[in-house]
Amino acid sequence: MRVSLAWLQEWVGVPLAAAEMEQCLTMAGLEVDSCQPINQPVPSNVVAAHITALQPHPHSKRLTICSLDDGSGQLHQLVCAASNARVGLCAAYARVGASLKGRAIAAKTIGDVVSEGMLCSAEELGLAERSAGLLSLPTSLAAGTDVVDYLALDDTVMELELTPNRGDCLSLVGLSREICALRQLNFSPPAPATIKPHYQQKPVVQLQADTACTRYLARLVRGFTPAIKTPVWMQERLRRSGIASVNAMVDVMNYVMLEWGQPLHAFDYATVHGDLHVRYAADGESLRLLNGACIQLQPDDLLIADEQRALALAGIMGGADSAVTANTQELLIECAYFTPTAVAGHARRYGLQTEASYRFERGVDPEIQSTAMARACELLSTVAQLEFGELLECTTPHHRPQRPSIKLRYEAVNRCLGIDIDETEVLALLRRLQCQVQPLAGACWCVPPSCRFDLTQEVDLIEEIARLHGYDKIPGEQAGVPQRGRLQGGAERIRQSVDYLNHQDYSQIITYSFVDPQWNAALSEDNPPRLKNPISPTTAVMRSSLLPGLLQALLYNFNHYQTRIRLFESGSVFSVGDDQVQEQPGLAAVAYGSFYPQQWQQHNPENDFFLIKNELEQLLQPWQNDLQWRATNHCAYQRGQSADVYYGGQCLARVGRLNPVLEDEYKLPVGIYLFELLPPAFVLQATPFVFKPLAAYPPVRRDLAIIVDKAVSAERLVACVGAAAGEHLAQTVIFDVFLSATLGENKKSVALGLIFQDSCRTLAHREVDQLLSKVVASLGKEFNAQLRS
Amino acid sequence: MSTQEEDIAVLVKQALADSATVGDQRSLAALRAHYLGQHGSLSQQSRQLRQLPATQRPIIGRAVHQARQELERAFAEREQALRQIALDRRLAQEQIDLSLPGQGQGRANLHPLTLVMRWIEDYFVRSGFTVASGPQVEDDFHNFSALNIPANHPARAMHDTFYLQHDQLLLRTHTTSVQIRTLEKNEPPLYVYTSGPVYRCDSDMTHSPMFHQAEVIAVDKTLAITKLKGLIEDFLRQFFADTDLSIRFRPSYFPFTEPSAEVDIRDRNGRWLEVAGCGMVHPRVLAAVHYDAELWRAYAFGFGIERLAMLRYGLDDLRLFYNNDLRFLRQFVE
Repeated sequence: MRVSLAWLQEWVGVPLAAAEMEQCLTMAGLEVDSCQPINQPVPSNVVAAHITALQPHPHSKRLTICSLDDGSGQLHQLVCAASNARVGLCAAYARVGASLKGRAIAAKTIGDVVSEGMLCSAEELGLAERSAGLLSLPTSLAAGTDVVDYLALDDTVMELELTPNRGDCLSLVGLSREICALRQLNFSPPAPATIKPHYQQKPVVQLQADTACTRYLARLVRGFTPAIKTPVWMQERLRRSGIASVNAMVDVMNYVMLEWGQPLHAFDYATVHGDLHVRYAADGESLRLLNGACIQLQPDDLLIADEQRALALAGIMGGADSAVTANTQELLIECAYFTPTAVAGHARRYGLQTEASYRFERGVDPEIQSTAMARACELLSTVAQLEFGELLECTTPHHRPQRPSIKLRYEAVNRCLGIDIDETEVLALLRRLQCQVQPLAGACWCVPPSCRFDLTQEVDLIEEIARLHGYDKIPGEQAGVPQRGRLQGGAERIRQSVDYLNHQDYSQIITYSFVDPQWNAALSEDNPPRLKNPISPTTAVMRSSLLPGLLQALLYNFNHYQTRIRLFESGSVFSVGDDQVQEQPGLAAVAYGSFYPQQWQQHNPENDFFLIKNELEQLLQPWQNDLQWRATNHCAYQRGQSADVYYGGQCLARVGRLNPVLEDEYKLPVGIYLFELLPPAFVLQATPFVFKPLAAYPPVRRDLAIIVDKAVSAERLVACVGAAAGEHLAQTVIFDVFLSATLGENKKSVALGLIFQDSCRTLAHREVDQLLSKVVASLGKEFNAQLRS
Repeated sequence: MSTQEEDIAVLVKQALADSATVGDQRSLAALRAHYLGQHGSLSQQSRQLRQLPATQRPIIGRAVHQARQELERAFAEREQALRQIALDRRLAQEQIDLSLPGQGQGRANLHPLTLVMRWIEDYFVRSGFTVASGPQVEDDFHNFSALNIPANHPARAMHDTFYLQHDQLLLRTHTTSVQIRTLEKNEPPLYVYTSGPVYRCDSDMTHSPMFHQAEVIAVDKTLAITKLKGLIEDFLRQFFADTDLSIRFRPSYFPFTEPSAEVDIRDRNGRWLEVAGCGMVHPRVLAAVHYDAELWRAYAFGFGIERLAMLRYGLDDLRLFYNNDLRFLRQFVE
């Protein structure tokens, strides 16, 4: 909400400076977003002047010579280029010596004619971004009137960010009431004069929507002509409040809304057929709105209708058919109370957010309608000679402006705030808010004013007391927590994994949880949940894998000249399964480029499966010896170079090289390795390990080099060795594997180191040699393995 | 001095001179054998002792002995010196350029948001809060209704919500939903901390459709604004490592707390910056999870992680957190 400081000062009755006003409002919970002076520096020596005569300029057709009466008793002459200069016009005259936008105005000679000062446009006075011609002031304005004062040119516009509970402050009366309560000032809003009816007629209104509209005031006004214009000062106050001038009728309605917080609506009475009805929409009914949109109404939309059709969406926007125009002669002014629930949600439904709906949604004072209607009539009567009909006031039995009593216990105040505020202060603070209070023993009954519909229970009053007492006067207390804090189960393990990956030079990234559906489908075989209202089609699904985000970040960095990229992300992944949305933890990493950072000496290999596999093994260290590595067919991975990692029948992880098809399709660099931990990995518990005594006797090592078919896996060889060697084999290491044509077609050489040990004695060489023979025989039998000489 | 004594003296002198010129340990060993070995010069002098008169024998014997000792010492010293020379030569040869970079795997670091979240989590765990988490895909009850935000409440306009195509589900707009879930599952007294991603569908220079929040909730019998204020003040002063940090509490509105406040800190330029929201939990929220609001009091306090991280690291562009540019990420070494 935007408000003019000068206007607000007028209502408060005390000229609090901008900074003071800002501080006061901010500390009362009415956040001031910005404070912008409309003119900096403020113009000076600008007065109202009447043009008494015009003469053509001797040398220019474009220029005229004006004679001006500026009230000084002496006529002035100046040269003017404005096309709307005419005799009788009252204009803003910057005298010689005036200052405008920091520029001094001097007398000068324009084409042999002396020009004393200048006449101003709205733009030159800081009243518009851009304007054409002279600003026209009311002719009734006395020559010599200070325009800086008259138009409040040293005003400041304050932008307030009001919280939804403070609908009562969406008006000058509300803001000034609040400021007076905070500053302990006397609050006395002006009382509008009553305009007596000039003719008997009044409309008939039928309230047919129970609690939605409980009070409806209407009055007819006639005598409008297109010549009636909104006064400059009113246009200006509307403009500073962020509302554009439309015509005198609409402007007055808006002006009253800004003053009293009550939205009013004006119908062109000539378009109304018969009685007015406040009712809910009928099936299939539609309405063409002021903004040109035609909406299909729904049965819970509240309408103002006549005998024939819908006229307005109540409290939100009027219809185009009944709108006032320059040619309107008779008005029907509506000033009604619509409950928040009747309006809330309905404006949003049609994408409408109007000043009226904004106020009705938050709540309008149910007792303000008579005042607002009187004020509207008073203002209209100052704008032009008009005739007023009789006032109609309709209420339903549901109309209950009286607020309920709230019991406030002093003990509850102090228990909540943690400080002692005594009874006297509590009562004084509540009275400042215009609450009616009735003291009891240790408590009081409190009836808040009708405008404070947000105050309904004890805690609401406690907040008000804290606010008026001052939050800054409540001290902070250092109090211990009587509990022991704990991290969440599983959090430690994730922290360890994350730290490990950091130590392996993987940078942690955080990406949006919503991703491109295509990327997601290319990288995940799970069904992702879809968003109803995504920001863009490329963020339309919740990720069912961390890979889309990781690969996008990898590509981003690749495109920014990075040649070695190692990234990981830890976060939730989402999927739809069994018609349920599942949300599970995930952790994944991608690596591209050399294994180590660029080095000056050491051999620096490119990433390969085994380097990445080792990292995954270490991540799963507690279960490392019981993992099974099975070829995977997952769509994100290259077949033959990628594995599903199983533990006890559960797939814990996946590791390998990115599917080369994806490299092509998404313009990714070639040679990306990746791994991901799957949800079962996050619920595994590491069994607490038990210490094994250190071997007291020396190990014996025997090395074997064998030639087998290329297809025989290391896993099977080691298993065969283990089975043949029995319990004395402590460990088998593979220390060389190579393929060569000299070995034979599809053959490979594998070098195995067998380490034998017994916990109770030193093994004899003869014994070890016998075991080794068994191993060789078994390998020969099972894999046709040949010893390599 | 007898001839023999003179011979010994000459021999010693010669030996000392020889040892001084010897350039390596092997030549020194040969020299030593030459003078002190079994068949060496001095040993020959010893062997001649027997042929001397008895009166001469002790004198010459002592001279031989002294000469041997002197030469032993001299050769040992020379040996030591030569060893040192050899070692120095070797060390000189093996000298490396110490300024060359170290070798091996690099080390990356955590995302700045994780750094901040860990710091905060550790602070609150130390302070006695237990960490809780909840789903990011939420239902209307936990994200709105239970928090005193009924349908069509204007406060919903402050939360531009992402909805799923599935079952009226939505992406949580704040971590406050976790409070409700935690209160539902546990009995008071409770001291709980939670953090994580939240979602709102607006995106511009200062808004990200996904961002991170953290918050605490405490439920106990004697909680009041004063204690909430004390906790927040201590937290912010420790987080910004500034014991004199100016902090102000400004009345505000959240549907789920009352009284509510926004917390501002004053920056170096004297401007107030909003960093957190807090308040006493609204009795309607306690009622929604079936707590006796007369018996139990609760306070809550929440803040945006990005905001705190930006202030801590002097960042001015929110989008940097989500670009995941390595040039940015590699800077956060703590």
